[in-house]
Amino acid sequence: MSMIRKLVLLFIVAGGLAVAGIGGASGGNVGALAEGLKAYDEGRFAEAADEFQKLVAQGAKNGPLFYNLGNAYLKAGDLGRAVLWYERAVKYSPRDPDLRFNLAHARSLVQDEKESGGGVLTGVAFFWKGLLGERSIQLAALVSNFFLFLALGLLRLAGRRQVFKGLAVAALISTLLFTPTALYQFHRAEFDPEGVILAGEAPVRSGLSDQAAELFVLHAGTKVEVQDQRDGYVRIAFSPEKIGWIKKDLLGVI
Amino acid sequence: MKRLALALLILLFIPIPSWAGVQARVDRVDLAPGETLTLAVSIDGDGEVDISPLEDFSVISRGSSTSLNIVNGKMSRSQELRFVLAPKGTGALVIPALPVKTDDGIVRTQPIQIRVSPNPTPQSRAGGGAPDVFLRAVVSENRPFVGQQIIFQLKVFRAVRIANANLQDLTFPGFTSKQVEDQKDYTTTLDGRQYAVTELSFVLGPLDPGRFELGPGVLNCDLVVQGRRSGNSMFDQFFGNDPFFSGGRLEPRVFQSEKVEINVLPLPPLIGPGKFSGLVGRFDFKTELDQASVNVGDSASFAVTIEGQGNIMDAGKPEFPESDGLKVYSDKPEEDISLGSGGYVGKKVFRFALAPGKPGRYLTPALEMTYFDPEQRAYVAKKAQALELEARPGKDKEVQVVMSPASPSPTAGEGLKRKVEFIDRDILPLKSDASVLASPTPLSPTLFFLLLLSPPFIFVVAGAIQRRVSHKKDSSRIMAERAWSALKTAADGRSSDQLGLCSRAVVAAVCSKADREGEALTYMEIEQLLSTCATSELGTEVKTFMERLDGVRYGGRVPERSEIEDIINRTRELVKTLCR
Repeated sequence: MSMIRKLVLLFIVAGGLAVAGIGGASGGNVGALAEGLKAYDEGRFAEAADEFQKLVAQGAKNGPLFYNLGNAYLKAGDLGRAVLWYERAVKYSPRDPDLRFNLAHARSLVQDEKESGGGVLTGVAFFWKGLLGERSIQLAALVSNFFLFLALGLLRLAGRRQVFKGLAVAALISTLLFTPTALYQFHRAEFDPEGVILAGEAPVRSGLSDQAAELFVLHAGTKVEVQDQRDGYVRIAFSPEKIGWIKKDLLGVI
Repeated sequence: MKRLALALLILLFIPIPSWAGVQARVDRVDLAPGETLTLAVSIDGDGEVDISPLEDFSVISRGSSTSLNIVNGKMSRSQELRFVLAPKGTGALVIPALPVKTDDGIVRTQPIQIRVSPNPTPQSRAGGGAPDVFLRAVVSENRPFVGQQIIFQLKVFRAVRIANANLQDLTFPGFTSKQVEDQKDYTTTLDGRQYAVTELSFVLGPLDPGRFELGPGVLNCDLVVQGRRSGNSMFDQFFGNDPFFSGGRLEPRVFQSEKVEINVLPLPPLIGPGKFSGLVGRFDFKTELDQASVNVGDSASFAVTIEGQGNIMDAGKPEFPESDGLKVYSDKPEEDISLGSGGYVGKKVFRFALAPGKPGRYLTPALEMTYFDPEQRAYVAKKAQALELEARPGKDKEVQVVMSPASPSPTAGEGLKRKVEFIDRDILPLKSDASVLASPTPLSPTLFFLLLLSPPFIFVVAGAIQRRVSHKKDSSRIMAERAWSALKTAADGRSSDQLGLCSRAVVAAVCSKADREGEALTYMEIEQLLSTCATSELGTEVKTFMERLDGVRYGGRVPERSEIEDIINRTRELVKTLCR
């Protein structure tokens, strides 16, 4: 039994290290937050957005802060940046009802009608990804994985006890659910990021110059898929049929 | 009969002398009102005809054909442009000389005289009676006011069979128009002749005062002309008058109705108080509250209903000024308007949610609506009475604005559920708690993979260690089991080699202690092993015992029973010590 205890301790330490790697000390500037809130209350929305941006520059990254940025930009009349920050907030707090409400309102102001695109299969396969934030899914994948191998170790050491079997099955299901989702999210962030049009009108061209033919025009707040970046231009896809190049500064990557 | 047909064909197109290369001709020169003629302009080569000088005729349709001729090896090209014309009046009309732009310059056709008799021609009548097919346009009011809805009807009368009928689209410049979807089909008798009638109705709304002409309605169709085998034979009775079986033919024709003149009158100036609502027709106006008293914080629904016949869809929202302590929220108006043969009929309901902010009695304004009644040719003002709303002290709760309609007189259990709709749109406020400052360490893909692979790696390594530990433990255990087994056999007395078994037990016990496997050891090996894994004293003790045991075993004498038992006991003690 002393050997079992040692192995359990080993797994717990490993798990603890894993969790410790995710968490981190919160930092930031309370003064900037207070200034931002005050400016917002007084109707100085652009200044409020600047103050909140300072917090981001200092390393603060969380759903509530990005939500506040979305609010400030929306009130300041910058629909593109408002949608961009709301979309970024969704990655952290997808179930925040305030965020969902405000994002829906912002989306209703977007001029371009959404066209059906691809991603149906992934949408079906990872239908739950909108219920949890990215970090929650990653954490769930790691914890499930940890408990899966902990249960397997216990089964090996202590014999085939029913409780360990149940733990192993539950952990296996959870691991199979969350780990591919987390991997898919990393893949999307690395290879298929999404972006939001920031400018009021953004011409999408056939090539990487102002002389290239203007294929179509997108408007502030429209969400697109970012496919490539080159020479100050970004290749975007609004739908499978509408693809082109757009100036980099007209777009924000989520 | 063939000669007669040939003569008719010759007469069908009467050639008119013309300038070289361009020729104009018509298929008939005598017309009755509603009938049409075909003007054909033949051009050698390419050319364009300017028909703008045609003042006495309307162009119903046009077409063209081109032909190539090769005579004596010489190829020539000719073009024929055809126009179906409808006369605009009666009497002697003229198709003027039409300029034709050709390769040789502009050439003019020769003018053609056309006679339009005020009465139908004998050819278009059955036995000199009423015409076979004709169109008639009527309007419900020839002198409507601006905004007054009138009904324009186009009736197609048919006493003979027609095929491929196509009614040209009617346009009504200066009017709003909407066709009543249901067309009427019925039969009627005129001058003793039975007609099938199709009646189309349009609801028109004059936009500006002035004189206007409506129509004409134009019908393109093929007239079914009886062939030579007409009569009441059994064949005809069986197949009816189908042109295919009766030997008849289809003759393309165009019929048009006369135009209808309309004089739209301006609305007279409104004299006196009140504000014109823009409605023209006949309307009712009423207001009602769904409840006479509410708690502060709740709301009552105030409905303004305008109902009647006319341009009801143009009714605008009545003004409801906010009073002190009474919040007013308006809802989208409800419309229940239908289009029938008499025009637009229906009602429009404007609802307001009244939310008292404090207890007391409130009065709704005495709303007034002024419309123009064309029958009375005057403005009519309708006024609703002010209604009283009592606000009782209520619980401290937020005002809930109910915007959707309630049933006019809700009974218990009915109309209690109401759809809540947005009055305005805005976003929810900022977040100001500590979570706004959180800045968790980002989890990079590399770190994620490391953490993800750590448990399986540890699992594999731990398994290998466990297997190694397990292996060592097995050697010791196996040798200990052998030692005890040999000792047990020696002790039960059934073996003849009790001393040999004791020797094997001690060697196995030493191997167990040294965690190795083996069958035989020398005295030196025993001493060295035990000195290493236990103590040198124990090694010396076991070595001495083994020397004594071998001395008794191989001494050449038979040991006594007590001596054997002593050795067995001593062996048990050593095994116990070594295999502990």
